[in-house]
Amino acid sequence: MAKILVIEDDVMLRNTIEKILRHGGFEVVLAEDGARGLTSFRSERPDLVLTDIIMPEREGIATIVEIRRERPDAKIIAMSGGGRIGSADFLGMARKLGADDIIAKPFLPQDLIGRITACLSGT
Amino acid sequence: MTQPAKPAAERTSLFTADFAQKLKTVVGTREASTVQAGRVSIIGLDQVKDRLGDKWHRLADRAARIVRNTIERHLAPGDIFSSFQETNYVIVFAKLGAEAARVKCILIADEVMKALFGEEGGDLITIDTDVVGLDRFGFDAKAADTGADELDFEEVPDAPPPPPPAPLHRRRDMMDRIRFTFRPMWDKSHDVLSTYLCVPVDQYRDMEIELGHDPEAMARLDEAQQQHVLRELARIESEGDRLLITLPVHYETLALSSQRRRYQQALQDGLTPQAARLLVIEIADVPEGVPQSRVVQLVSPLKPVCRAMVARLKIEATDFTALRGSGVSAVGCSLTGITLSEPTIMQHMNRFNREAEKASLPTYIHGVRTVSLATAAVGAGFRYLDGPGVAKLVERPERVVGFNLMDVYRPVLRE
Repeated sequence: MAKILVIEDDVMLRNTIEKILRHGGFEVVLAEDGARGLTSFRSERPDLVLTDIIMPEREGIATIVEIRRERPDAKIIAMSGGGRIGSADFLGMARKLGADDIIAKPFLPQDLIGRITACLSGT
Repeated sequence: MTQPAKPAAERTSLFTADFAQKLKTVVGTREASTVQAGRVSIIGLDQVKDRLGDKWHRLADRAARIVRNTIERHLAPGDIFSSFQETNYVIVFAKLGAEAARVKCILIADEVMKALFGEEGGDLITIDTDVVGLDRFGFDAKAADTGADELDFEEVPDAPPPPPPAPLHRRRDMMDRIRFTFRPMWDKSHDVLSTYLCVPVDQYRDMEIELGHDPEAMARLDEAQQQHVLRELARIESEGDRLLITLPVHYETLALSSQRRRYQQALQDGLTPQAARLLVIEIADVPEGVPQSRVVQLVSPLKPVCRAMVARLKIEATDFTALRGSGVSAVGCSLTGITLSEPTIMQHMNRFNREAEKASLPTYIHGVRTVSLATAAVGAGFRYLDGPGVAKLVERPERVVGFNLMDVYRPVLRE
């Protein structure tokens, strides 16, 4: 069973994603910001990281850069609603700076599962 | 290199009654203790004038502007200077010994020569630092020839070590501690750093000053800041640049009609119409819920002497109705000194923008200190952002430069 680290500061969304992923057959580890996410990444050795961008303490881009620095082969998907301005800027930046894939919020459960499955299989 | 100081006999030839009167005027604006501890230096352009010959009359204004700008760049708080007899400039260094003053004057001469002739070295510029006792001009100079000379240059730094942390607004020498710097503001809509916010810093602690609620201190600071910005705008205009300066002024300062008139008059007297187009005035610490008529009262006299006016409120502010239609072009807030947690600040950022949008006012934010907050501020919809998490303080506005989201993350990539 693949282990997914979900880094998301919005507690409702974090819990929703957890349910979706568990239902999809994944093991899930949760973190509420980038700093805690990095700690979990080091201790839990997840197969894939799903991270938000706009977060307190350490936002998603810095988190992605650090994860990529520590484990060049880590699989990372960035997600963002982009706050009030739209997600394009942030997701484009995430892709440029190390995310394997990106997904804009809001998304459908099957879309999220599909992206994660594809990323894990390297397709 | 620079010429050695002139012999005393030659030097005294400068000390005409007119000069003495001028110096009295200059030093008379400072407290006696400052003057007594100071050193007088004279920078002379007679040989520059000779070299330029007939061109001097055409270039004199430009030369004067260059010399003034260069001197200003090198002055510390408490230092003063004035021009004298067309080609001479007298500088009173408040805290430097003779040798340190001389080194500073050599630097000034070098820069002036480079600006005027594109040459290194200030051979044509005479420097006289050795120095005049102020008692010649009727001042008590008992300390002028003692103390400072006994110290090595290294021991008389421009930035002395931090004093005990007394509240700034209660200190008598507040203005001597303040240094004005500028913070580039990122215009997110156009991806440029095109506006520079004037930021007063405590030069001994290298941090932005916080005055507390002290209207007198605020007014003094506002006046000094205004004068600094006026000088910068004159320089920018003379150099043909197009960047903008944001000048904060406290709501409390403008609330008094006499202070408001004085502030407005200083702008009117100190700005050409072209320079006024480069100035944005920010009314700081506007209380939430203030009546619109009051805002209009403050904005109306100043709006004709600047490009735009903006209003800064607390980040917790949610009522912008009084500002809509009052003449302000944008509303903003500052994170400087805010000790709220990042999650709380982010909530406030979103609410601030949501409410400002209802009033159709674009938003800005000062003091964004981390990449996380910068990211959140962009996401929240702030159009202008500044702070350590965006771009560093600079001594003076330089130019309009491109800047985008990638630049925000550069520190992360360098870690």
